[in-house]
Amino acid sequence: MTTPTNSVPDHQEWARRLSPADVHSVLFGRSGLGRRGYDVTEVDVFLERVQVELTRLIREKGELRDEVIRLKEQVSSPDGEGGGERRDAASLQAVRVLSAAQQTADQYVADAEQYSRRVTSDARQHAEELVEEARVRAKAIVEQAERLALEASAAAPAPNGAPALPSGAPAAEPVAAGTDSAQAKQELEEQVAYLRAFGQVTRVQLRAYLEALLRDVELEWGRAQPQAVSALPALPAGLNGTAALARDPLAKDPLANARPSADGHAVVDLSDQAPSAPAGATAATSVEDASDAGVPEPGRPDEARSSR
Amino acid sequence: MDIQRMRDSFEVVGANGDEVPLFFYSHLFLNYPETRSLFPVSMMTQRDRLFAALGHIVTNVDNVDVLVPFLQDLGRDHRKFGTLAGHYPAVGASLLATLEHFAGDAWTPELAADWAEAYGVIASVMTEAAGQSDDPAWWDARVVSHERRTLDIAVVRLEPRERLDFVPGQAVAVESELRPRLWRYYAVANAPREDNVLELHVQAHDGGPVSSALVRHLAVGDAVRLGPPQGGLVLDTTSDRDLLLVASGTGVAPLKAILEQVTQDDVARRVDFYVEARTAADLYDLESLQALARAHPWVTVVPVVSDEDDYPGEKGRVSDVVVRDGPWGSRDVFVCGAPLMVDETVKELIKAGVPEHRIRAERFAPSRPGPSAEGSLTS
Ligand SMILES: Cc1cc2nc3c(=O)[nH]c(=O)nc-3n(C[C@H](O)[C@H](O)[C@H](O)COP(=O)(O)OP(=O)(O)OC[C@H]3O[C@@H](n4cnc5c(N)ncnc54)[C@H](O)[C@@H]3O)c2cc1C
Repeated sequence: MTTPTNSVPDHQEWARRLSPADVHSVLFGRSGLGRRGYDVTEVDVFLERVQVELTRLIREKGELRDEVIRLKEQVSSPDGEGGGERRDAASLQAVRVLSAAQQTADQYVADAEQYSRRVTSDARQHAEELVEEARVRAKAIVEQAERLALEASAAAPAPNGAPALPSGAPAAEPVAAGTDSAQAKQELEEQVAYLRAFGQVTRVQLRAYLEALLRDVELEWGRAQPQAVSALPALPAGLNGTAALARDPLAKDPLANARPSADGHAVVDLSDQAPSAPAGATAATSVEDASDAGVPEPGRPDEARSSR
Repeated sequence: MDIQRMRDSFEVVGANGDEVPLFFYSHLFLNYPETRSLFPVSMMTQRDRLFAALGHIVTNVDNVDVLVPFLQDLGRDHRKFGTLAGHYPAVGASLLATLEHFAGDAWTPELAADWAEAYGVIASVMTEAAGQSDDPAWWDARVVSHERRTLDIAVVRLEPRERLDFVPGQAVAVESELRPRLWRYYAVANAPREDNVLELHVQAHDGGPVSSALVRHLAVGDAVRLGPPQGGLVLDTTSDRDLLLVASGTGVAPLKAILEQVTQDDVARRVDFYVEARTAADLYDLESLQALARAHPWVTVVPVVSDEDDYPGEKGRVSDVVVRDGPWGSRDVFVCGAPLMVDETVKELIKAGVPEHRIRAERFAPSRPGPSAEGSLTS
């Protein structure tokens, strides 16, 4: 008899012995913030040992039980008659051998799951730190650029009173070319657009890398490939102040074609810069993904509420 | 049949713990090798399930009202595992051999006869229930699209070869060739469609074999098997009350199916749909929900982000936000997602005056209910 997955009776009516599966999937409540608690990894490691030990004891107990049965038989029929009983004992031994093999298989699977759990959660933690770091840096770059732009336009007031660089997007209206300050302003706007796009691309590529990392972890038990980070774009000359961000100066500049477009958003062509991420960097990582990799659009949640 | 004697013997046998199901399955596989392929590689969880089911049967052996429906469900449910009527005698023989092996001196011919008779009844109720269904034992399906929406969530669309009828809000058990013989439930995220396509939302759990494989390795064209639709998270057909839907994570899936169904009906019902995620990036299906809200002015979608300080919208726990926006006393309420969120929300809503019978909830608990530290099962 087997019982269906996910549909075990809700409550336990039968006082049952602790099983290796219990130890494998035991759930502890998390202690609240600031409360004392055990180190999670240490508890996990210990539980694994308990599970292995429990499995071993169960096996040994079974073997001893067989031994008792065999000895009892010897005592009751010393000259070895009663072939039927001996056949029974032989099949008992077969059951025992198969059980031991099954326990070994169970242990391999449990180890693999445990390993995968640990490595994926480590990878995720690492991933979240990287993304947070990238977010903070990207924000700093954009703020710096906007400050520069503001300073520049304050120095040379824009013609026809257009507000200088609204914080949302580079100025949409083309400014009259010709004067030095207007040109300087346009250059700055382009730089701001570039930096915005850069921030976004950084996140997109980080995500591609991290996805690949997680996939790798699952597929090959965690041979991460740090060189994939080199897929981050290089900065063009002239933005030296932030060059520290470019991890690999040889990487192609994905933003070579990024220019502010008519609607004020940077256009980024990512088509020819497939990140040299490990196999498995999925095609799902496209510019579209930037929306969920990046900072939320401020308008979104309110839009949802306003339809109320 | 001496029921007390049977219970006593089961208690004696059960005191041997995991050894008992270990012996049972080895005996079964040795004597009937063809049954091995019906089971997964690791039998650890399977052994506990056997014990749980046997315990349930022995406890309720004199309570027909509980036992018969349980066995009927069990019988129907086993069709998708490839269980055939021919397997039942094999299982019975190994079960009796196991009981005999562990019962020791308590095992008598009378006791053996009682157990054999009891097993005969169990098997006939199960096979009869299994035989009554006209549905296929399982549905073969193909992956027609697979989108990674976040690092850990994929939206998968499946096309069953034969028509699979379900009620919005229900879930199907899924088995993939990537993880043979491991079945897990996933809710269908759409109302029934002409083309029979089912959308599933899968969240990968660290160390979770099926969910990780479905999110990270499943690809278009892959084959999966589906079990019959299950679950009571469905609209009350006698009610036309307005609705409150509360989801966290992939708990969105069944509630989106319900929302789709409501938007297809003629009667406009007000629907407030609260969706919780850790970060804005984890609101993996917000756009399609907002599209529904735009098309139907009486539908409102409220995203709530629990773990991102500079999120511009609603922040915090969804249960708090929902209760704050109440009262919801006149609504039919559906809650689905992470067990903690579901428990908290249901508790708070009841406290805030929503009648308990109007709340339907589903907890996406792990397939193996891990015991808590005190040993009670948690789900
Ligand atoms: C009726 C029903 C409908 C469901 N619908 C969906 C759905 O639409 N989408 C969806 O993503 N899931 C859904 N689930 C949950 C799903 O069935 C699986 O339980 C889940 O995907 C985990 O399967 P697994 O094989 O990866 O891990 P399991 O083998 O079940 O668990 C292995 C380990 O993974 C971890 N783990 C697994 N699940 C969780 C969890 N929920 N929380 C924390 N840790 C966990 C635990 O450490 C656990 O010990 C539903 C469950 C039910 C009962």
